[in-house]
Amino acid sequence: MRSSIPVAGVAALVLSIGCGPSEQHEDWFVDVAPELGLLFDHTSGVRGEFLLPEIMGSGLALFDYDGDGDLDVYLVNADGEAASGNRLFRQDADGTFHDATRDSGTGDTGYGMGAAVGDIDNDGDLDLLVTNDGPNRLYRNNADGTFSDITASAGIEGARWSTSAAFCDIDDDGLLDLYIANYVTNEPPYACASGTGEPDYCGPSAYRGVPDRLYRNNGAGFVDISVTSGIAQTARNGLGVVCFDFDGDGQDDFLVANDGQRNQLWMNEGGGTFVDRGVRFGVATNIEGDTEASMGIALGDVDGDLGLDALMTHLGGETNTLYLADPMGMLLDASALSGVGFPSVADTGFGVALADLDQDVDLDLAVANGRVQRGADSTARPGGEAVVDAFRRLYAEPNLLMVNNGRGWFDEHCEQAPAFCATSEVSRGLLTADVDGDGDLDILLTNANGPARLYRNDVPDKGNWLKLRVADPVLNRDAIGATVRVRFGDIWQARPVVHATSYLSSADAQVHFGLGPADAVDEIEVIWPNGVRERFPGVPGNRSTVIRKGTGQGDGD
Amino acid sequence: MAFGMASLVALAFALSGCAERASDPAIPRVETSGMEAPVRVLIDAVTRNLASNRHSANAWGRLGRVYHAHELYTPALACYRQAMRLDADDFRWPYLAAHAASEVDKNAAATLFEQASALAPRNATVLVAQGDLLAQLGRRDGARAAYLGALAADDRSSFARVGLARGALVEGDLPRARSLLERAAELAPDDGSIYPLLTRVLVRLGESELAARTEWLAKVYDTPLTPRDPPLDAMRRLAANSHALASAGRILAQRGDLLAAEVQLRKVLAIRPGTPLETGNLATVLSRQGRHAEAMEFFAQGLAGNPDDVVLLSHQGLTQMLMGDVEAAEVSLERAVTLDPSYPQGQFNLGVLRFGQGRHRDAIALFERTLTLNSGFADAYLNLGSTYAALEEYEAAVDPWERLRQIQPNNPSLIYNIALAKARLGRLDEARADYQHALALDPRNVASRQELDRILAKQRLD
Repeated sequence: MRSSIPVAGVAALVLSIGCGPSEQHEDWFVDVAPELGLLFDHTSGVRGEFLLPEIMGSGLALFDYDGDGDLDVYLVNADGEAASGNRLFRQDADGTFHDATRDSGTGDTGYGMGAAVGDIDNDGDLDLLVTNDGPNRLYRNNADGTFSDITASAGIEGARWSTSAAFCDIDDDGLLDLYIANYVTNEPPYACASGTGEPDYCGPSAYRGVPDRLYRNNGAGFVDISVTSGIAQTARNGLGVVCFDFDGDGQDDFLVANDGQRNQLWMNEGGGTFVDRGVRFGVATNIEGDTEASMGIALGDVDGDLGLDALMTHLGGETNTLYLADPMGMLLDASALSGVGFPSVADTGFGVALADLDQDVDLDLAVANGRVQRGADSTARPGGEAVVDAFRRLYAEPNLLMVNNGRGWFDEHCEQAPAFCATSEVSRGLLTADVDGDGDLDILLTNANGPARLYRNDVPDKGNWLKLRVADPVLNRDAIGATVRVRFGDIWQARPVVHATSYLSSADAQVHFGLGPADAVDEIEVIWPNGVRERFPGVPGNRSTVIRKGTGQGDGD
Repeated sequence: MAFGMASLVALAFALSGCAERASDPAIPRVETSGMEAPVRVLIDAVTRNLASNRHSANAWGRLGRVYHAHELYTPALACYRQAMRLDADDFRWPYLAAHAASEVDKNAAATLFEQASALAPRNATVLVAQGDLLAQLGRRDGARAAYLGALAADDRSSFARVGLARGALVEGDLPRARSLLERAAELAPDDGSIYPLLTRVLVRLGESELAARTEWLAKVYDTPLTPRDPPLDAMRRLAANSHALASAGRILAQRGDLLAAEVQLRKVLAIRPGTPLETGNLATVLSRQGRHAEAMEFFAQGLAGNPDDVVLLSHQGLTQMLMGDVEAAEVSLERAVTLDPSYPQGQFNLGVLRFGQGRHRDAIALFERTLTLNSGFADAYLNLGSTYAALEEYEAAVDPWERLRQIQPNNPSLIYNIALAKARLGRLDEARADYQHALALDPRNVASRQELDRILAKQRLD
């Protein structure tokens, strides 16, 4: 197993003595980015003009690009200046990060929005798409620590304002296809005004939505099938996208979070065509029938019924919305019933993760918050203030951590995680993954005009865990679109195998289970992307295991 | 003795008065230097008025409403609370306070709604708002009681029914949710909040065909209606900032109140000259009033800032067409469609041009494309049918018109068109029924009367 993120040992000891064991609340999440060398400051080019792209922030990708067994970090930047473009940080064996941008050739300097990973050529390594407000960039992983820019030859050129993207196989031909969500028209942006007339960022309604794009991977490149598939038949303000088989028909569908317009659930009808069933399945609006300003999406089974639920983050004044899947696959807004709704109303949510952070056998919730319109404290500082400082002051909000009590109710736990929650910034991208290889899930966060933060999971008294990689040896890659279920005793849990998640972000497809006191799982079931089920024997906990299609058994590493 | 009593009472009043003045809250002030001039002027004026009328609930309420209208919720709340102290019988103050509080503290808002509904127990709007807030807070029993109270006060309240239906849906009582929503749809057929819920209910009940229809209606009506709400509307009308004025302008234009919309949009441009969106909106509002030359000036201004603005190009093209400059219209519209083939209005406007040029097949393709892009585009159904009718292809004409009838079941001229097409197709019984329906809706429709008489005569002869 890989070593943990180094602790600032002496300081931790002093704090521990000072607080006394009975009364102290150890911080569940501690930012270790600076000490590990993950030094990245996002800039969106704010100049006091309040141009919409500046407030949207940028995302990230967490993936093992060099195949050395640990997760590396790709951070997207947005000011378009060559000196501070996107950055790829390689994680070394000691858990520290080193800037590998130049060596890898991934330093795109477009006005960056998001990152998506996927093995587009089934060569066993993850390739990288960068979405921009402007032309996107596709990098093929050369498996030697370098990437090649194949944007032109791949056929995905275009100059829209793209946001999140997802790779998955829509036609079951073994090749990952590509969905790119687009936001609004990128005509010359301009400022709007707040309720009192102070200059402020416009909402998306000041522009027009842009149709999303769908590309089919034919092995030699990507073919734009946006129009023939039906995807381009509507123009909405797309921000988040996830790919999964929502109706269980063995074909991958897309759920798209739209900002201020109805969300879309593009159901795969076969033959390369899709129909929006968002209204029918219940995710187009909230339970009140109101359209919300949807930003990010997380998938997971929050109530332990093996149905795949979805959580969408929203603008302040709206709730974050939890859609619970029923046995028919319909999604019901259970925001109020689950406790997710009310604590989220005050803030504007973007990045989001459903993850078992305390490993007690249910999914918890972490949300990256940050305003898009001026806060109450919008008075100019006497004596002047740098534009970027004003940006941080006007738009910062605390993040949100909620813990699932195992009965479908979420309680706010910010008191236990002051560093994560109370560091008020303009947060946007968020992913959870076991970055330090110690078996629990850490949180990686991006901030608009602020630093990236890596919050190490220090949750006390965590349960046991299991990490599974679900691979298709014939395709030589992760089985994107599969569902993994594990059972211990009479408890089942399920996880989707996805790359694209949250807001503008994409992650390694390994799935993580908290096992609580159980030290092994009794049984594993995989529903492969084409709907075929396969069972595997149980494995011990507290380890990473690879499940290979067709073997019927796990393969410990 | 009597004298003594009067003195005591007088003394008590005097002390009470002194005590009240001593505890008068300070007038909440906000920093106005960064605000737009009309907002600053308004706040200053209303604050001055309050300073000289500190015991007037209305004066406190007015400053509260001005703050509220400009999204300054905390000072608004303080003002409303003082208005409540000064006039404990006026439901408006706790009601408006509840709305302001709901932006900053929903639990406090719930208490304020309680106070408001106690003062106005037969006001359905207050009760629905209270129910909505309680539902958001997960207080389902309280929400249900509020919605039922609203129904008792106004048995035609679609909003109360939708609220009750949401509760029934959450509780799994699908038949009740369906019944409530179907009745709400009858009462408010263009309320976009109804159909997504009704679709979910029907799907769960296994009513696939009905669900397909409501799923389509959900696309047609994608905006929830807001209830008429005099206190809240009066508060909103006080907004003097460009953002609120622009919103008001858009809403007025959508309602067809073009002159009022023009006034609002000109105010916005006076505050923030050259704002692209409002420049374009003003041009469109002028064009819709038939003031084409004036409209063209604003289109030119807008397009000078952004020559690729598809919305402006599209509306400019339509205006040029109306001015008879077909050549210029063609340039504008083709450019709009080329720049953004997914913009339905662009496709539609070019379709209108092609129809005018006699290029009916091209027009049909464009109207069909419009409907593919936006299945709720009512005028595209109308024009598609009309274009087929112009080609004497009545069977094809009836189909889009019948689709439109599902959206506009009481549009007499549409029903007349359908009847005419059916008569041409020899479907006389259906045509007769449709003429009768059109006449029931509009008894002065001479053409319907004449065509109906003609059919009746023919059927008598036959």
